[in-house]
Amino acid sequence: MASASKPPLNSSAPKQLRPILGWRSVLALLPLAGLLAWATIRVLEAGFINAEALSRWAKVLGLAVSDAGRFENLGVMSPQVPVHLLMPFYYIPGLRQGAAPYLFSCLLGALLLALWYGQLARRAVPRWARCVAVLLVAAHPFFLWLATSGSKLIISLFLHFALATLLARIISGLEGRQHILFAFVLVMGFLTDERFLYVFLLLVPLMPFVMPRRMLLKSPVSFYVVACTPMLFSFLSWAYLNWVFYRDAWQFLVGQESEFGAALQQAPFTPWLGQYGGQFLAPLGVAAATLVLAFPAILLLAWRNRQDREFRKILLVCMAIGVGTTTLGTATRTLTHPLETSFVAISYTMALISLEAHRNTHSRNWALLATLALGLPGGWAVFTWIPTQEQSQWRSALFYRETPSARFTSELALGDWLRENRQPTMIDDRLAYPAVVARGNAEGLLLPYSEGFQQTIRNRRLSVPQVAVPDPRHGDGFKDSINNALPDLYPSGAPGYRLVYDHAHWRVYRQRKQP
Amino acid sequence: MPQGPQESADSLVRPAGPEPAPVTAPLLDQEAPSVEAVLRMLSGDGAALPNPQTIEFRTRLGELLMREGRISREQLAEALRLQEAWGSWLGDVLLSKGWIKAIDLARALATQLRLPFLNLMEEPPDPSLLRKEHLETYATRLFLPWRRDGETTVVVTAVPEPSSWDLARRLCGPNVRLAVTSKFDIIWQLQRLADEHFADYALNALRRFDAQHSAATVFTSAQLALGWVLLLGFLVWLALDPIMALTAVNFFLAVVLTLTFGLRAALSWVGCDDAVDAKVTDEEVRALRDVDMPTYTVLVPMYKEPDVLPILANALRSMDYPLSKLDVKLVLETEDTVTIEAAKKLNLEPFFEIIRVPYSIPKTKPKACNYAIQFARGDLLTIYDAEDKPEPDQLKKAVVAFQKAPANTACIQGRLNYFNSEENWLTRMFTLEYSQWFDVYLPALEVLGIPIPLGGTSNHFRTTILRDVRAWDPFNVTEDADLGLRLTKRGYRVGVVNSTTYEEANTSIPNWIRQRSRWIKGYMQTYLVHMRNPIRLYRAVGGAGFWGLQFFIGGTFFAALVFPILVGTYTFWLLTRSQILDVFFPPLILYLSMFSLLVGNGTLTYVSMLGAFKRRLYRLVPYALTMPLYWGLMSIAGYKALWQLLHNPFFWEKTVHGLSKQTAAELERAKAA
Repeated sequence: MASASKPPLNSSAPKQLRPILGWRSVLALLPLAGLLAWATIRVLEAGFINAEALSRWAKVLGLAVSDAGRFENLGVMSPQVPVHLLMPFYYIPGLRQGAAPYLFSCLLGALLLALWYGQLARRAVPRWARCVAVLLVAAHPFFLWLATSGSKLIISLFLHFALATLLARIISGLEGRQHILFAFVLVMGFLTDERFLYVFLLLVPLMPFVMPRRMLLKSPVSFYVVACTPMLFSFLSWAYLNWVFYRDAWQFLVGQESEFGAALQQAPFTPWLGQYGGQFLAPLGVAAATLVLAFPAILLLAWRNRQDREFRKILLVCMAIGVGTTTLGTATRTLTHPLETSFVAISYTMALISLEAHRNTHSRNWALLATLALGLPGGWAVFTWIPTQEQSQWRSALFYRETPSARFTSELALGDWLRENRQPTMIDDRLAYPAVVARGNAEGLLLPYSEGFQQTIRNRRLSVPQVAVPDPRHGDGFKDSINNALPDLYPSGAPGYRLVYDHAHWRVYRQRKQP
Repeated sequence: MPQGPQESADSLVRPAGPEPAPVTAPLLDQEAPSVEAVLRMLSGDGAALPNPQTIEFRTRLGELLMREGRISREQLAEALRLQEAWGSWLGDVLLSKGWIKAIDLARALATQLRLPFLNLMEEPPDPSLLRKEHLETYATRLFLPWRRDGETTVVVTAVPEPSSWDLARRLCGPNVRLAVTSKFDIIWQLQRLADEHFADYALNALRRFDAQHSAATVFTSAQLALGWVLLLGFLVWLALDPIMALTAVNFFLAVVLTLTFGLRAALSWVGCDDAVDAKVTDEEVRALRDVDMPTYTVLVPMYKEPDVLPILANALRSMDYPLSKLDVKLVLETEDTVTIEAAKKLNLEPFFEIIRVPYSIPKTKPKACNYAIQFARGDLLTIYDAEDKPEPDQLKKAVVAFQKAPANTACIQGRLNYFNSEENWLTRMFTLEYSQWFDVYLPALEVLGIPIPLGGTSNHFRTTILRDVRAWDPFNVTEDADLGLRLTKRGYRVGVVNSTTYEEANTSIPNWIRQRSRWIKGYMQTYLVHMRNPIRLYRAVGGAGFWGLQFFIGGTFFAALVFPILVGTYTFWLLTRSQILDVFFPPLILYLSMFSLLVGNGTLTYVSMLGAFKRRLYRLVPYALTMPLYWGLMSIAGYKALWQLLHNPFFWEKTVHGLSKQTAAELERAKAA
């Protein structure tokens, strides 16, 4: 009964916000990070280089020193999330020459496993079982590749785990924040890798499977609106920004820097696309087979939970995404290797194991662990089947501590030289990104987004202190924008400039009045 | 000349059956007694007054009323049953059911207690006996000093029980004698004799008690001085370096808007967590015993809305709450004879009382409520508008919420939503907005310790605290928002409860703009008042509260005012692709502006879906995509508000109710019930 007397002042209601990371996850994080870091160092010491990681880090170096770059290059062309997540690492001493993307992948991989470990603990999975499960996933070649190669797909792995977990919560009727998180994950996925569009396109017809029943009966449109509007808005915003700055709204999809564009360009040289590109049924079958081969645990989960309607729906959606994205990407020739999309099976397997544990449907952990273990040789078989050059290099570095051929040697050498000769230098980082990374920072570099660079290209007249150009006859040198604007520069130089560096297929010209 | 309470008392009480036979009480004079006659009749010690709660007393009273033909046997049986369940006095039960008129009850009580009955219209009290400092006590305890004869004071009461006797002796001296009258007589006489005092309190209490928090002064001298200094400084800067000056303005706008939408995004995230709702469960409500329920005052301020009163009256009758413990005040302006007559014609039960607010400027709802609160008898108090339909268990949920809340909780805010949500585009947008506000933002504000601006109705208060802070600011047109902040600053807590009151959403855009301009003006007033001393505010509410106020209250009207400027600028650029504005958008500001344009507007559009989603109004969700059009309307209202703040700050722009087709249907249902 409400008291009529005056109450004491200044007491407050307890807050009801929950912590994100449990103590078990925190405890698991350190050894996992250590394990993955060991593997990463092993491959790096063997000379492995991930081109995508290098390119990403070069962007970070550019953003860190330039306001204009920070704005325009904030993913107007390429996805923003992988670059932004790397930014804090710029300020950690000792990482400026390219180790950061690998450290990031390693840490994020460890975090994902630690979160999963904590999740299994909360679902009363015995400690021995969850330790073994986590180690088996960590040892899986798909996971190991993503976590130790500096690949940005480790972010997608994280997001797909979140996606599957959220689908399970949504289908069980939990509302509110689950839908917001679901929408957020879709946006983050898209801003991490444009190919997440395939996931979105596949999810659209599958959403009625996971929608709460009352929503399905009352207004399914509302679910679509809440779940999909942020994604659509992100897509349209990105198109809008491209239109504002490049007068081409779809540049971010078809341009060279996009995943789609890059894959399309590499299609003639990619064994996978060479064999299956443009087809639908064949890659569908192959994708399904590789999924099962690499993750036989999925079959066991499907069998054990065949009576559980909600579990079946989640499994169906996850597998449809896993197989469908590979199929769509191959059919449209925008996927260079199935691993770039089928890695999601790791996340979905982990999420489904958690879901099964949550429903307490089965306690025979040994069977599940056995199938997880069985996935290791299957995974390696898939991994080594039509591998990309980088995958081969990584595998060789991991097992044999050597890489068949060193990559980017000329660009790295250029970067070393630029580090010693720090005049303001105009350079196109689309090809020279390894040089930017080797240099250690982008201060003094006139990169494509800078006013000086653009003015030179527009006027087709050099006025910068120093300029670096690749041989247009070598490799992709003809794509260099400086070469396109000043075709005589590499072979003949320019008036008022002298050659100060000539190694492999890179040359640097410096103004005569410069020291 | 308004009708006296005798007639009004008669017309306010609705007898349940056929007109009873005329009373011929043997001990009661037909004529009003003279003073001498009263004094001759008075005898004995008031302490010997029987306790009206005893079975013996109520049985005798009930039998007396039955013998007099006032009530039937069945009614008496039902009333006795309810009396046990509710823990109320039999007379109150009979009044609450409308089975007896207040004046007849008073006569019967007088008969039973062998006390004189007084008709105060014919024998009014001696005004010189009334003490200003006791006026509120007279109003809430329903007694008045009537006449004095030598050392003896005759006190007339509507509640002749031992506690009344004790109180009378405490306030009027040891030699008192009691007489009985109808409560309406007392209320009427008090208003007649002490109107000026009550009106003065209503208008000036806060101003005297806490001038710092009164909106009677729109801009303080310090604020005016600061405003002029800033304006002049900016003009000088503009003259010296227009590009830098305008770029700085641009930067400021971008930052404030980004923080405003950032706060709303954060609130949406927190508020969408089901765990943050102050859940009062149905089990907890069922576990309550009616006998333990406190008296609940319900203020219903109205002005020229006679048509919609039946809706609320019906809703209140349907409340899951002992009717005998409801103290409903229909708060009407004296000159609003149309609504007064309509209220009388409804023959409402005696627990509905008409409180007539005398004319004074400003003529505002908070002033009217301040007037009425002086007559409030409840331990708890709430406000409803005339067209409101609270959920039947709302009062009990509020009781439970108070029980579960920390002891310093002064107010529990119910949720507001609309019963005509799908009538047209405007009602859908309004419902989206309200759902977001009350179902998502307010629970989040509570969790994060940010002061909660109260809604217009369904605020449930501990009456003593409300009186302590001098209730509402009569000069603030969003007195509710202001009160929430004042309570927080004084160390009290405001919570929210999961119970909804359904109102009528505006169906007409001009009417909506009138309403919204008043709200925005009120928010401006509230902001100006509470920012008179920012340091004191910060110390009182903490960092979260201070910045929450800036971007939740301040951000609301700020965004409304700048929205058209930004849209205009952007549209100009989009259509012309002119570069003349480029100089005002260096990279950082361009980034912030783009971020605000895309991410900010996108986020605000998205979060506007979440309230309706949480409330399972799924069909409304897609309409959230048209939210930018709604913002345009808000901007119109915002500029109107700004104009009024400067030229007519206390003007209460009345919202017309009863426009909805559903209201007409609700009215028919209420009348049929």
